[in-house]
Amino acid sequence: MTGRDILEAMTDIRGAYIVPAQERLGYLPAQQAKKPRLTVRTLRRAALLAAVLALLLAALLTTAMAANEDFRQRVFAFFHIGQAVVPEHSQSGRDTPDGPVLDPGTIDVGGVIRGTHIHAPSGTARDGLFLIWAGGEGYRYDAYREENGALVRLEPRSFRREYTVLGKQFIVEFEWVEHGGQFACTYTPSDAAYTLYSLPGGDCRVLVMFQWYSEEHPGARYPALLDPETGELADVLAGTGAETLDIFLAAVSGDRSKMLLSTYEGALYCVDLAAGKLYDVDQLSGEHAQACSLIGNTLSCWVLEGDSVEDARLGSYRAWAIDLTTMERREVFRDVPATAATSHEVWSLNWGARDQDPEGWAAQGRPELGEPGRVGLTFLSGFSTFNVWGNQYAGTRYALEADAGRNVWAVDLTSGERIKVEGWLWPEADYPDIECVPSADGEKVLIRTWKEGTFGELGVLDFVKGTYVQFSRENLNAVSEYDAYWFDSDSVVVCASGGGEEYDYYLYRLLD
Amino acid sequence: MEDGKIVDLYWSRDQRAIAETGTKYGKYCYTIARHILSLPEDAEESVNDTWLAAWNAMPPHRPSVLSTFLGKLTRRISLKKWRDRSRDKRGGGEVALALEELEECVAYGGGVEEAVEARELAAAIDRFLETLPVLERDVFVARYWFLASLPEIGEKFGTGGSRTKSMLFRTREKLKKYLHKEGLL
Repeated sequence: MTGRDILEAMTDIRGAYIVPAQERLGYLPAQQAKKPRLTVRTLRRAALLAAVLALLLAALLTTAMAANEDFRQRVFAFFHIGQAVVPEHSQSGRDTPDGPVLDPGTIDVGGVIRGTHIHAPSGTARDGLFLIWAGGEGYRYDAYREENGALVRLEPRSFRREYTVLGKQFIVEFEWVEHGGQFACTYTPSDAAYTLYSLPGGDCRVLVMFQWYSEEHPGARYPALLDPETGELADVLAGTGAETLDIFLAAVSGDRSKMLLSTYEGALYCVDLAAGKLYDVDQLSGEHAQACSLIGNTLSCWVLEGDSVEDARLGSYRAWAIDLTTMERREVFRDVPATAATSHEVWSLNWGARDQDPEGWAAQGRPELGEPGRVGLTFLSGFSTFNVWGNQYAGTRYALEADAGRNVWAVDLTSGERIKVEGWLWPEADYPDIECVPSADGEKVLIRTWKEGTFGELGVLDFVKGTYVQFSRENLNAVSEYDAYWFDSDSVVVCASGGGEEYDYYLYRLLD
Repeated sequence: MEDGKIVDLYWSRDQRAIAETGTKYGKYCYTIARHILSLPEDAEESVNDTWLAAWNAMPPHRPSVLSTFLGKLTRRISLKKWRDRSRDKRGGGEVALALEELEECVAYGGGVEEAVEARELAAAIDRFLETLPVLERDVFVARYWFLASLPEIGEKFGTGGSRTKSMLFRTREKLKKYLHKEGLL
């Protein structure tokens, strides 16, 4: 087989995969192009927003913070570094096992991290489970969990029901396991017209995103909540008018009380699931919001205003918050500059040149950290931007902000308060290479930088404990790492391959 | 005009079908072709060939989604033209770069190169795509179906240049593993 075979075979992939990418790229038929949509500039800003802040606490946590001053104080006193050395990487050199096997080298490091090496055949690791390809039709896995130093296979349960959603018939079929109160899907048919998203916390209910084709809505989607125990399907948007929206993303808050929707046109909506009400975020704001974040009962919104690539400044952020109980709006902050240092736009203009002439690029094209003081919000994200393996995030409370000296602040998106992050400097890497991934419970964020096959910077910022745990790892060149993300709320997994058929997972469990 | 009516025109052998298709999908198909072919005239020729192929296919075919049906025709025709042009050094566009990237997916040390039926491979890629997070899947399709450039993807998806590049690298690693597991490598 050659790369050309793959490229040509791609022609015949399912249309369900083509349409969403087509929409995102803006390659639209003429009639669709006339519909009001995000302009290129708006998209660019939205993309910039997505690239520029960091995240963090989900609704449950932030509600607790608002109610508990001690809790809040502990958070704001935070940020000392707990550093841990974790096991060095090595290629296993073993034959591919029939199932995942634990490496006997599993160790605890200073009571901070337990490092575990798992060697497994093809599959994946997510939702606290190791999912190993089982073969056959569809997407079928065998699920294993770690239990007292051993890996235990979980017996799947079958689900098959027929539903009518917006007048359309859907047969929902899957297999699943329950793991720590969480839903984990182990099988869906290859022709499933829906996607299942596990939800953090609570119960085993799952977000089902139904999808179908129609001329008016070529990539139509509609979300509902399904209880796999009873088969009860909650049409949580019934009567809200959301059935007329071209929904692109949906996210449920940690307490399951609200849902956020984004449409292909870039419009944002907040749904009060208990009251069955749909709020247009722009109408609530009295102006267009480019992004929003659901924090307890507060909706934080922001825009990036004014921009100019030429002078390496891309405008400034302005944020406001809306109390969803009183519908009162208050201003949070304004004039937080977004400079070239945090702009994916400038990087996009320059990154090609970087590959062709790294030294010249560094000398001429690299956007420098400009003025001292605030240089912009880092990774400002609304929701679902950091959707990892189907986990949905309802929003973030804090942005991370870095200055020219790599000092970092947490910026409260509900109050505008800035809290200095003591004892930790922003990683010394190019900004676009730094990624922030929140944990499913929203209490922590994984900071990672990937370059040339390894995650050189890897650490966890914990807003509850007030710590940054940096993973000092060794012998990284022995394997090729290709992913790092949250395995569960307390563990980070790094996926690596040594060139064979097997996978190597390096599981870093954060200890209390 | 609605897609259903355009398809009806094809089925009734009404030549307005091509005009209506061109009005609605001309730019869309040209964009796909232009990403594959470096010369504008080659891309225009591919689009015209697409209309002819559509005319020949309908009837008996009745596509459920006209845009993807036409897009696939354009892509297939343009890739064939790209192969022909490559022989006389006129190939180019994003295809060469994408091919270079995808070669990583088939570089398995000691493997025996075997011909794989395209249909079987497409089905395997379908199954692989199902396993990906939405953003990663859309970026992969944008790159290797639409042959969109990395800066364009970075801008449209808000992933920036460098993140797009690293995301695609990791996805190719996963694909390589998957194809090997499926016995296709």
